[in-house]
Amino acid sequence: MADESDGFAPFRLRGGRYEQVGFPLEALPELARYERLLLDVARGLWRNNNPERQRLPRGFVGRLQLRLVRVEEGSVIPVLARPGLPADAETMLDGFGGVFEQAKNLVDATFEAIVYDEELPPELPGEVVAEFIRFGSGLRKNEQVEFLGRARTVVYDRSVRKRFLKRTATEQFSVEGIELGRVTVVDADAQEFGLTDLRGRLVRGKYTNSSLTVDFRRVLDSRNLASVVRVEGVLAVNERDETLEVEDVRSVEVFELPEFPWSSRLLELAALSAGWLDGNGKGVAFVALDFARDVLREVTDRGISVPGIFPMPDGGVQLEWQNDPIVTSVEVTPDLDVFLYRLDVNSGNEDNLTSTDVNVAADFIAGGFHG
Amino acid sequence: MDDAVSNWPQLQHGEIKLESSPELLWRQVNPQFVNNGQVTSQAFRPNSGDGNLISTCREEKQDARGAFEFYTTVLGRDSAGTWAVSVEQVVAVGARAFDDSESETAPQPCPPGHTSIDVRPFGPGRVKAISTVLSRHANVRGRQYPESS
Repeated sequence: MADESDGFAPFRLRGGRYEQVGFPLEALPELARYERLLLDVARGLWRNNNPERQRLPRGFVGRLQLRLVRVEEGSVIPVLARPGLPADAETMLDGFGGVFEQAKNLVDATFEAIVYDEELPPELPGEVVAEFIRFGSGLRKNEQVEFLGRARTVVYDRSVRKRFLKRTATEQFSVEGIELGRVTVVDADAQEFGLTDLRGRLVRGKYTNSSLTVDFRRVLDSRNLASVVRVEGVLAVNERDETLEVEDVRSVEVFELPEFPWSSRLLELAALSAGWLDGNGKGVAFVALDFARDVLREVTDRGISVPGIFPMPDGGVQLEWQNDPIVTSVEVTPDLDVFLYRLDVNSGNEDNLTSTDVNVAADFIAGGFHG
Repeated sequence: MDDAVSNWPQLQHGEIKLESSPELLWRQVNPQFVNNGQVTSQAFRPNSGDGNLISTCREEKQDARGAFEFYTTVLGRDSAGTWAVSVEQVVAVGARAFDDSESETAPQPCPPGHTSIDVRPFGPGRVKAISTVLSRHANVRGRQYPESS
C-alpha cells in the first residue's frame, strides 16, 4: 500500500464472481468508477486548496490516471498504479501529487462513514457525492468491496449502497444490468430506442455507441413480431429495482430460441416479477437463465427429454427430471453456482456435483438416464 | 433414508404425532412450481421462515378441495392445486408428521387439520433428499384437486 511505485491496493473484492481465480473482465467498469471517483475527489480538493486558480494545472488528469498492474489473491485484490512516475515525481508535479494521497485517504474515510452510517467527512467536496453513488453499481448480491486503508473494517455491499442512496434521497439510481423485451422503437439520429418489456410496458433508452444502431435495427419490429432481446448496459432503476429507463447500452442480444420446445418456459421465467412466491421470490437472474438455456440445448442435442423448468425463490433456475426411479436436478443460483443432484428414490443412493461446465452438467444428467 | 432420529424437538402442547398410516396429507403448490404437470421437489421444501416445517392438511379433517379453497380464499395465496403424500411415505423418508391444528403453535388463521411435516433435525442435503422423494410420490399420485383431466 505504501510504495506507489509498486502500486497500491485500495480494496479487496470478495464473494460471488470474486471467489474464483483472476479478475472478472465484466467487473472492470468498477475499477474505472473508482478511478473517476478518485480523480473527482482530487480535483475538488485541489480547487478547495487553490481557490485563486481557475484551471487545473496542466497534466493534472493525465498524471492521476490509473492502470491495473496486477491482481493479488484473497479474494481478488486489484493493484493499481500511476505508471511512469519517477520516485521524486510528487515534488516535480507542482505539488498536486500530494492531492492524490489526500484524495485516496478521503475516499477511504468517506466509505468508512457510509458503511457505519456516520456523517460524511466535512472536507469532502459536495459535487463528488454522485460519484460515490455510482461506485458499486456493478456489485451483485453476495459481492463485497472491503476497503483496506482504514483501521476499522469497511465492507461495502449492495445493502450498504441502498441505504446510502436512501440517505442521499436518490429516487432513481444507475446500476449495471439487463432488461428483457422487444425493440419496438428506434431513432437512429437521436440514438434512442423503445423496448416493450414482457409485461407490455414501454421502457425508453439511449445508447452512446452509434454502431449499436445496426444491432437495434436488426431486431426492430412490432411487439407481436419482434424477437425478444436482452439489452445490457446501465439502467436507471428505482428503489424496487424496477427499470425506469436505459441510460446506456453495451450490447443487444437476441434471447429467444424459438426452435426449442422449452424456450417459451424460459421466457416465462425471465418475465417473472419479484414477489412471484406469495410476495417472496426474486426475479430470475439472467445469468442463471443463460446457463439453464445452454444446458437445455446440450441435453436436447443428446436426445434427453425436456425437464421441468422452475424458478427458485432466490432468483435461480432449477431443471428437474423426475424419472422412475432416478430424479436428477440442476440448480443454478443467481451467482452462477451450479448444483447437480441425482437421487435413486428406491435405494436412496445420491450423487452430488458442482460445475459450471455445461458439458459436465450434461454428462451428469445423462448418467441419470443410462444408469 | 429411514435411519432413526434421536434428536427430534419435543412436541408442544396440543401437537399430535401421526403414526404411520395411508392417511393423505394435502400440500398446496405455487403455480410456478408446476411445469407440464410436474411438481418440483421445491414444492416439498420448507418455506423460508417456517423453521424446517412443511405445511400440509390431513385428510381426516379436511378434503383436497377444502384445503385448496381455504388456502386460496381465506389465506389469499396462489395455488395450482392440491397434491398429496401419505403419512407412511413421510415416515419412510425419516421425517415425521404432527397435527398442530389445535396447538398454540398453529398458524393463524389455521387451515382445518393443519399438519406439519417435520424435518427440523436435518441439514440442507438431507432435506433436499426428503423433498425429492416426497415430490416423486406426489407426482405419481397426481393432482388431487382440481382433478387432472
